[in-house]
Amino acid sequence: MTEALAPSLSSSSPSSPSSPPPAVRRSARTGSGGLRGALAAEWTKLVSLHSTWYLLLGAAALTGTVASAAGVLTHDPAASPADPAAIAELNGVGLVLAALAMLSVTGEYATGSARTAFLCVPRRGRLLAAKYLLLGAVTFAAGLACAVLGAVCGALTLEESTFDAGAVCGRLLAVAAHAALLSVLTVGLAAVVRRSAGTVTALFGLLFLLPVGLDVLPGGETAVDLLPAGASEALVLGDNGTYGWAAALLVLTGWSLASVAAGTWVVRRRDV
Amino acid sequence: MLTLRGLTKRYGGKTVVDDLTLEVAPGKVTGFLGPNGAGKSTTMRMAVGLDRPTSGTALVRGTPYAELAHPLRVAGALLDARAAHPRRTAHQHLLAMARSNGIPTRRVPEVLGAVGLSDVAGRRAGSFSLGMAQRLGIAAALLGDPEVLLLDEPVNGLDPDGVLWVRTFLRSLAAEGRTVFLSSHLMSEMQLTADRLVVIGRGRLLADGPVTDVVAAGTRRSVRVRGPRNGGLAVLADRLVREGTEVARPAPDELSVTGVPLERVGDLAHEEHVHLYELRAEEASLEEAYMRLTSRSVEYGQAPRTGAEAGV
Repeated sequence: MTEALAPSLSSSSPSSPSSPPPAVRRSARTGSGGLRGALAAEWTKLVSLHSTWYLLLGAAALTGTVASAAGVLTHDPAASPADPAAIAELNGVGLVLAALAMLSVTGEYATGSARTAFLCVPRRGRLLAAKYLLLGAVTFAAGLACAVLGAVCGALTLEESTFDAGAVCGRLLAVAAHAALLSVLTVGLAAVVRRSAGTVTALFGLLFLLPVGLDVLPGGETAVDLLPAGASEALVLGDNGTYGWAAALLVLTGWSLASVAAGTWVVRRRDV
Repeated sequence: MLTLRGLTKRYGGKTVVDDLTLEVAPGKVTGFLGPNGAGKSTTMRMAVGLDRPTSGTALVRGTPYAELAHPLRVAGALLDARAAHPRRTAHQHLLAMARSNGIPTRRVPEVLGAVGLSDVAGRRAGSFSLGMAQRLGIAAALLGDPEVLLLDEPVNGLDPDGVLWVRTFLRSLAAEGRTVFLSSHLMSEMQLTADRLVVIGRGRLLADGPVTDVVAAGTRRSVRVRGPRNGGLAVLADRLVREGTEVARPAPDELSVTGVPLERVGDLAHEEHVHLYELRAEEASLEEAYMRLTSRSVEYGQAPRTGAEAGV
């Protein structure tokens, strides 16, 4: 083992004039770091974990199952093929993609590789920005793919339906936007909590327990509609009884931005 | 070049690093020594921006680590053997690091070769032994060909072969003009590896200088005298005590003399006609210097036993 290091050392030693100058110094001017580097590193880390591919496969399988079941069970001539896709997104697919996003943060804290991540990108806000952007983009793409798959399953299983290409495309994009916004919200939450179990608990509390708790309070019903769960429903189904998809997009974006801000604020102040 | 200026870290009311000011020079291996809990790791973590100092600054080549455009190309750190995601391969781990700092990806096989991990580049980091994980950590620190290297206990968990390898490796890195800052609680290792020593205890700087100076300042030279069991050793001891030196008799045929040069002991023995078998200056050891320096600052040490407690 001792001799294994000798060649590389001598090759980077300034005392041997015949050897080429160290590779890195030579290219220091051209190489990119910064946000681009951080994004490239996050992408490399994401695709090199098997869990990423398992979760994407899981999201696709869940979409096929739930959308087909929803298609079979729907008997409405006005139904759109996008409906089963939206139902699948609300009933698990969105959460599977959010889990993928969560692991990019909690997986690093759990294994100690978070220290490596912050050594590579010591600007805390930049590292988190790379995670928000990359996971947002990846879950948007995956959400869109699942939405298309769900719509195909819906078209095949719906007994009767009304097809309007523009409306279907709009709904599929809304499903993808929902996947991305929910995932970004989860990344922010994960940055605050750091642990998978705690993040899942917080997310379930926010999505499922808080609406139930608020509902029993006087005047709580309107507030419930403004929670992430209510906004999610309005976004992917087009309406939640109080407001439509455009307002829902704003409300859910607001929740995601709040989570992004909280995650960034905490990580900037805390020791890694 | 690594510069710490008044670096201080408090957790609640507890001061872990206390107003630490030092300069770690290039071209040398600087050993960073202290008992467990002395603040070595916290200092290293502050130097690379993982922990926020309560006050003071840590500068790498004149700039805070977090403000470097390509930090891995300026400073490499091994802070923890388990720094890679266990389900990523060694190659993937280094590839992500390289991309984050715009380091050419061909550096990845280069550094893996340099630490002798080429054959296991495709194996998951989680399957590595502690020694292999340490090597991977060193490869990661070298990835950007940095001028400054910070290594926290790099020989922990290595077999003797690996320890020798790290020692040789670090010495050669310093010989190339790099700044090597190495923490350890193994003094023998430091005596062999370091050119300069920084000793801290309870977060405070206790000593900072060339290894030989730190050892000399922290130890009292003593002289070992051996002679016939029933010879004149007692006479010599009496004479030395009258001269005002400190004499101990660890064995019937041995004296340990402190505070007087070897030559003087020889002269006195000659004057008193004492027969000697051996007259030898005891080697000053870093262990002894270190124990003396840190005796008041051992965090989790045993309280010194008093005579009464010991039942004397």
